[in-house]
Amino acid sequence: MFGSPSFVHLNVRSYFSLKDGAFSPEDLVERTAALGMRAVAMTDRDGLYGAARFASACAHFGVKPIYGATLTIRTRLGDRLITLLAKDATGYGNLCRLLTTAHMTGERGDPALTTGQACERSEGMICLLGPESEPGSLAVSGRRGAAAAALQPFREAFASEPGRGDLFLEVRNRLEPGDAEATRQMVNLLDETAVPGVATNGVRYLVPGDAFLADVLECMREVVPLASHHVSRRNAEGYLKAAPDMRALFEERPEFCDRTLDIAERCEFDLGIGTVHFPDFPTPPGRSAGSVLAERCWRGLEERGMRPTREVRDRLDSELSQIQVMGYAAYFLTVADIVGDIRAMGVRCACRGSAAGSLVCHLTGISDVDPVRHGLIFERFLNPLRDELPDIDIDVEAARREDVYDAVLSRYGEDRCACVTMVDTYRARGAIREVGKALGLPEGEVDLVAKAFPHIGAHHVREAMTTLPELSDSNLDAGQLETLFRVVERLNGFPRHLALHPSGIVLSGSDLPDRVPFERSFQGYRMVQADKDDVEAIGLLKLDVLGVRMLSSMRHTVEEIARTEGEKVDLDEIPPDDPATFELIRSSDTLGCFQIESPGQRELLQKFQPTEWSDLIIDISLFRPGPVKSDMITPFLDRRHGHEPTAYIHPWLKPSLQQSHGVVVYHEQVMQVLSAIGGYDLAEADRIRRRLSDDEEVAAIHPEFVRRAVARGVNASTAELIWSNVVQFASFGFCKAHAAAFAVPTYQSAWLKAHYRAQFLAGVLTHEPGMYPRRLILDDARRGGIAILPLDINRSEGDYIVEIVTEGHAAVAEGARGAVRSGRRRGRPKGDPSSPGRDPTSARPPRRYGIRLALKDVHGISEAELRSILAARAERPFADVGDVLRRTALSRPVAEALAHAGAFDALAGGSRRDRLYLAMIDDVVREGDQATLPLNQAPPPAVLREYSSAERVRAELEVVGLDASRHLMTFYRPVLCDLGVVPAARLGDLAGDQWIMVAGVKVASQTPAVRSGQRIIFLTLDDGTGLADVTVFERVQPWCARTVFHGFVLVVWGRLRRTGVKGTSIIAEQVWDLAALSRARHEGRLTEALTGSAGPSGVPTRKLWHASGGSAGW
Amino acid sequence: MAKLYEEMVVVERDAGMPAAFSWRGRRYEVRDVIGRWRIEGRWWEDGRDREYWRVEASGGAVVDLYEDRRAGRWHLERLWD
Repeated sequence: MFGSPSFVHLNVRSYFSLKDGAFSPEDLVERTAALGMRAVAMTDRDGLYGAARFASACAHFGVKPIYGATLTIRTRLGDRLITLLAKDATGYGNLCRLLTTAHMTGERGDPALTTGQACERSEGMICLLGPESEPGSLAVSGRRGAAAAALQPFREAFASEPGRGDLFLEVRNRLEPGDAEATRQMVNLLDETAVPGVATNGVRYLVPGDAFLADVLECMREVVPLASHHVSRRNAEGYLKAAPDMRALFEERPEFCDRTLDIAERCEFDLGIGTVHFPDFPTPPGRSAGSVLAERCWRGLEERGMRPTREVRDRLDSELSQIQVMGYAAYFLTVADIVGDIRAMGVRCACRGSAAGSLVCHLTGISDVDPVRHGLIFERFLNPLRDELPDIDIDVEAARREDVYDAVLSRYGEDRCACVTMVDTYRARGAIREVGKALGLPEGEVDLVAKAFPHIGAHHVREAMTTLPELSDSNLDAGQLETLFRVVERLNGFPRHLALHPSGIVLSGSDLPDRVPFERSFQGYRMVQADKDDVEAIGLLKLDVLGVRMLSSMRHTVEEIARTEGEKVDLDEIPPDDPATFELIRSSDTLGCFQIESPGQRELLQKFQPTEWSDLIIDISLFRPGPVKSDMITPFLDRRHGHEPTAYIHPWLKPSLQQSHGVVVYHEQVMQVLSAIGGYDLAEADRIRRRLSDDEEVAAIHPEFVRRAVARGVNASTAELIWSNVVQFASFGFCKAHAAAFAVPTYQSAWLKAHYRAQFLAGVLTHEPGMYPRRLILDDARRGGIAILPLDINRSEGDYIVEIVTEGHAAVAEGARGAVRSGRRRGRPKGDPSSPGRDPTSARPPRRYGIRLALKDVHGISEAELRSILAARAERPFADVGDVLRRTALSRPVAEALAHAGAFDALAGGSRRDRLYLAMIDDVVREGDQATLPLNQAPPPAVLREYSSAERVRAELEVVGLDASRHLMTFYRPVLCDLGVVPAARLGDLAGDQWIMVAGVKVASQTPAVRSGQRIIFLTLDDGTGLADVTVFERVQPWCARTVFHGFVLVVWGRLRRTGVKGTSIIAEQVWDLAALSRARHEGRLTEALTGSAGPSGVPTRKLWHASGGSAGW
Repeated sequence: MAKLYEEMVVVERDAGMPAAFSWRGRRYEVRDVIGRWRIEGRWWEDGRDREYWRVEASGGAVVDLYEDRRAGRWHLERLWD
């Protein structure tokens, strides 16, 4: 029993009532506990979003949770609100279903029910009607009769049965002007109707000092500037008041407060954190899911062609029995079915993550990786000792992900399956923009401030402030900025809106709608009101279906191969040891390949020189921040190349460490070492491995490990040495199963690039799977001797396609760059037996390949415009510009863009300017209106000057964002030579620690959040010969930042730093806009332009760019 | 009709409630408290935080007093007659 005078808050909105409440569930519970209140309700608007977090926080602070929600009721008078509290599981189920109905029936983002709907499912719930309800609002406005009538349906639903008194009228006294009268009216209503009253405070913030947040949130919600007439609260009384304060407000009617305690007593629902709810899987009568799964696995052995050796059989039995014990058989069967469906749809898919370490996953078709062959461990994935649900990740073609979602959701039905939600929270930039708007600050200024911020959490705003030079230029005064940041800081972590999680799908039993409400995502997907952590907390199993662009890219490649070569490539059947593929990998010609295309990876490949599949797994695992930072790569490479002997601290380690020359690379190896030396079983070993990141845990386990090792006959000092190794590497290791799963698309993409470069790059250009912008991939194609074919209204498709081109055409299209070579630059050795169904290069004259630019990348083109081009062209090719305009649905700007970029160049008549002129002046006369056509009557005189090369490239950049005909940098050769700029390709040959200049197109700039608060800008410049990595430290940002952020082609002067055998980066001292320097050179004032800009004093400028001299490479 | 004054007053309190106030050199007893409310907000402008008391003063006049809770000062805002 709750001791009096106590009180329980029953009407409370957290920040999950988007832009309404101003606190987290955790803060609510903590504050409740601090005030000595033993229970609290959380009643967010139209949702139970925070339920799982609320439940966990309540358990932590020893507060009794009351689950409820505030529902929008659509009435003739407008929207009204009622608050429902769940008494028991039936009530919670009804509440979930009511919320689902509210969200699924109306417009998205506008959930509402009618009074009738709300009253239909009343069982197990308590209903509170406050001044925002229909009866309440009528009473407050003095219409007592109407109020009593409006109350009637609720009385019937919640208070008609004998002994069921589940209806209450909320009485509030927030001391606002007019509140006294409103309270009186409510009290009159309840006295007249004999509905009991209960005191609430409509809590929106926890302490009075946070009321300002409620104002800002309200104005952000209504998108109005902050002003008295836009703010509904008149004082700061709507906070979580202590019990005595609440009692004092209702001194005359203490029963209103007493009833909050009674209600709290009656709400006994337990959300059941930690209880797992297994999915249903229909099995034949008399068969358990476990026996069906076992049968599938044994069948899988045959299908996979695996020999049922003793090892395989034992392992299968062991996995199956663990799955059985944990109760996950139905989950595996469900996932296996889904994967089967995906494959049946013809969508490429792959299992990633630790699930690849399971033989059951392999045999049921979920994963293609053979865990026995690669030495992967089941316990790394599923561990009976670990309190974690199994999580299987399936990668599918990105372009088909929605199809897959549709198939899964419709197959498993509304009742058992829904997507996971992702809570998008406020971060600095977004918060600054929205709050700035609410505060009525000028948008442009606010935008400048917002842009200056790196992607950091809103709570780091203030420290970042002090270090950003651009902000000193801001026109906002200090007071305005102070207010802005005061609010922004507090919004950190507040949910901004709820979106579809990019991959999670909940698989559950048919009682799912009683456990969690659903709503619709922007795209119309059914999603649960729970994010991935909530889903796990309330014991729902999920499957992650991730869209992976590389899979789409490879699909496109395979289709292009079939179209251009007439060959059918089955990626699942390619030989795993193809020499040409490994040659390509070793030469680090891997731009566009999965996982191994980054500069650092390519550097590693060169040093590593992988020769087989298992090397790829190691390579992928080594290239992680941990191993790179702690330099565990060097000892590995030294041993691999025999510079250092491979040795084992103890012979028992050899079986598990042999694969990586005695170096611990994988999580699995950490487990095996613990198991071999300490005698732990693998499940226990995995649990220890996970605890090794915590220093206290390490100290606790250490003596036990050594004791166990010694007991097993290991020398104590050896045991110590092994322990220190384990601890050192545990945190850097990588899950081998994950790496092995990744190695599949890595190898496949490298194989495609090695054998079908043009088709592969067309796939990469179409789906952009990697880190590089398309223009860089084009460069890679050019370097590989592939012609880049311009946009052509009669030839370009929606996607990038491969064309076989004639020698002359290729040479022209390729412009001034390099000789034309075979598209299969690294064609396989003649007569290579490992190339199925493929004719060796020698058997045919070498073909020339070109990649045709895609219409989909034309700036501003719509799907409908694209379709209209393809449809019209299918009837007959376009004859001239007028023909294009007549027969397509092209808008004027898109038609102009096409003309501008040369898509009409191959049509009859005139220069590109002439065609552009036509596209611009013609009144568009569509087919059918030809009676009025002025079109062919007045062709412009074909006298307009043709585009220059520079104009062509500029047009390409404008329209498709690509410099297709030539690399942009070729236009700057004169100024680059004058400056003595070093080509990126030559950087690797230079000695470190010297002052140099580099230049290039800015292809990437990152400003990652740095713990120290320092802002570092990482730039990647592309100069056509390669990439230069530039680091811009804070020290030089005062004079560089503007150019760095706003410039497109840059020149950087800085110090060359060597980062590895081939790796380099330039520490910037000064940055210029190359276009500006080029103009200055033209006007004969290059020196002034170089020295004129603000910058570090005493820089020995003049000398430098003349000293390094030479035009090498340009 | 009400008349706006906005003048400083001195208030004597009893159990938290105004019991008497002195205004323009005269002291008035509070005979009855008619209403009480709080106004807080406009933090982006002047940031007020006031507690209002509508009271009946000796002599029958009804006045709105408020305490500026930040400054800790009392004002007579309105006189109702």
